[in-house]
Amino acid sequence: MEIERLENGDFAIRELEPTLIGILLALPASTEPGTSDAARHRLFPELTSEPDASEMREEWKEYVVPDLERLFHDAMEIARRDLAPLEDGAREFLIPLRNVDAWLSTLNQAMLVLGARFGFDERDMGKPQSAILEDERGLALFQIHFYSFLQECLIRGIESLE
Amino acid sequence: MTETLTETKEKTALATPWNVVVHNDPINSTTYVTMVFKRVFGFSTQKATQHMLEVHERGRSILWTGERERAEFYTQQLQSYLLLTSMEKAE
Repeated sequence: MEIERLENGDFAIRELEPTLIGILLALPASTEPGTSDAARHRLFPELTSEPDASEMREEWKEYVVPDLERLFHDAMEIARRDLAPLEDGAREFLIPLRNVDAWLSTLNQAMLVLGARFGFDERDMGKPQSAILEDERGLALFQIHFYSFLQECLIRGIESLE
Repeated sequence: MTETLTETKEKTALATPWNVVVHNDPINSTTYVTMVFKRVFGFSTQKATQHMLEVHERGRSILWTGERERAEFYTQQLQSYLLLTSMEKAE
């Protein structure tokens, strides 16, 4: 895989191996918490645990959480559209500079949902990559590491402009 | 009399300072967390890194303390970046 920063600020992701194409195409679906309470709770944490703040918590759930849901969904749809060339068999795609924030969010959503669904902790995250590709859990850990790597590349790219 | 008491209670509740707290999670990268602190609070890289390290090493960091509405605003901002964020009454 090769990541090139273009003159206009966009990111070109090229020479993708089939495994990485599969992992990228799995990104949108990986942001869905599904029936996992742990994943949903991680995406939308409780506002406060203060015992006398139940009204605040209810208002947060009623007014803020739906906004966050929309924000996360919109970001995921942007990433999904950028990934479309891979659906058509291409081995490269473009992340326009204007879409980088949506990508940072989508990568993070997927990482957090996978982390919560599989219950990964600090020790799991520190495992050497060669030891993890053994089963569904190992694949999920590899996904997180790859999404984190891509996120890191995007952050370093945009920060080099500031 | 009841009205006055209720009003006083509400004013006291609003006047209570709140902490905006970011908690550690094993997934978010240090680079990402630092970037978010810089964006949301306008921190320098050094100050953002200090808070990131506090989250990572102590499990939590208080990012801001003040009146409730502003604290809710910052909490919403941090949650929109998917940081594990909550509010608590400041002691």
